[in-house]
Amino acid sequence: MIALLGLLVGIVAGLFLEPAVPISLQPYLPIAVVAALDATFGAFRAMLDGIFDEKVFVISFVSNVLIAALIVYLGDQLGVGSQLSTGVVVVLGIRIFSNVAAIRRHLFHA
Amino acid sequence: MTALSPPGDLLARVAAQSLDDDYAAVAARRTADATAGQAGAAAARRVTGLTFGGAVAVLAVLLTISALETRDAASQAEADRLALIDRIEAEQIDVAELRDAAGAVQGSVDDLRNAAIEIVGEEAVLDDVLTRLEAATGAVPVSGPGLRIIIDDAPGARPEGLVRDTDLQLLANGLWEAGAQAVAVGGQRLTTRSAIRTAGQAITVNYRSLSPPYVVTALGDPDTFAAEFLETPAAQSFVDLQSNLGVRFEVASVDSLTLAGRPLSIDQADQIDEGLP
Repeated sequence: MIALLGLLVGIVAGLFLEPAVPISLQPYLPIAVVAALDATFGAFRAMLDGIFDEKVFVISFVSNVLIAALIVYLGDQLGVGSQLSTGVVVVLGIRIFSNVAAIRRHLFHA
Repeated sequence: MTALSPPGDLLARVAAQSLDDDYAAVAARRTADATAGQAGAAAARRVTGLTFGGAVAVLAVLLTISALETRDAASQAEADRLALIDRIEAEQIDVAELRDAAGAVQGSVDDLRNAAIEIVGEEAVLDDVLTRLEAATGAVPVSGPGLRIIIDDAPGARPEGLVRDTDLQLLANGLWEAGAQAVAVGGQRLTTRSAIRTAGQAITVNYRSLSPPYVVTALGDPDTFAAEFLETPAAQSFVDLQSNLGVRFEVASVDSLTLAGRPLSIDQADQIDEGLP
């Protein structure tokens, strides 16, 4: 219930407020989104595993997003931003894929 | 789900640890708490309920913003692309037009060059004509072989022994008749507008008074000029004057004479073009 409410509030806020992303933060938005997706799929899988915990989800969500953005920021400062972005996307992508595979196994028993 | 993947197989380890270990750890601790009979779990859930909703809201905001940004960027890129295509097409048309214009200009350049070549040729012809006309009309100095004739009054003060303007007119006509190409009387070049006449006591040529002896110079063919001149009635008449009245009349051939020019200007007569002479 809370989750559904939060989802609705977030979508409505994003649509109607259309907060302008500062130019300096724009490179980190896609990475943050990927990290958030990773945390979300992980949470879904944990729920299906029966070990979901809201606190763990919040912490992992926030820290994933921040760390991913921080890594890319560091990479930008060091001149290897695009390579580090690729690395982060690869790792998070693999995690998303394997989580989705686990979810699929739970749902379809296949 | 703590995974023990083969060391070195990074990707496999990433895949195996795809779920945060915390979930398992917290679940294990909660099971332990439950067996120990503690009931703090429900309270903890209520505390984190709001944060959980906030996290989900943040996730939704992130997704929405990023979708909007991507859509904006895509539409902007598409608009830029279309604008670029428009500009390219417009410029291509411009280039084609400019190329045509360049071709036309090149054609006119060729025409003008040909015209210039023709004009240069005509100019050379006109220069030639002008040079000949200037020399023939007396406008510019000329030099060449010719005759120098000296005429003077007869000694004594008899009026019939004086040289008159008609005598010099006769002499000039005789020189022209003999084929003279330029004549000067007393240093005054005879031009198309020169008159030999008496004004007061003196003979004037080109409105300049002369005094005897009168030196008449004329340019002509060195082979025939002298002989031709001496056969003219004018020369005969001077010979008669010389023998009868003692008028001085000396004719000498000169290899190189220089006759001054007398610039001519016409401002009242309009030229009628009847072709080049």
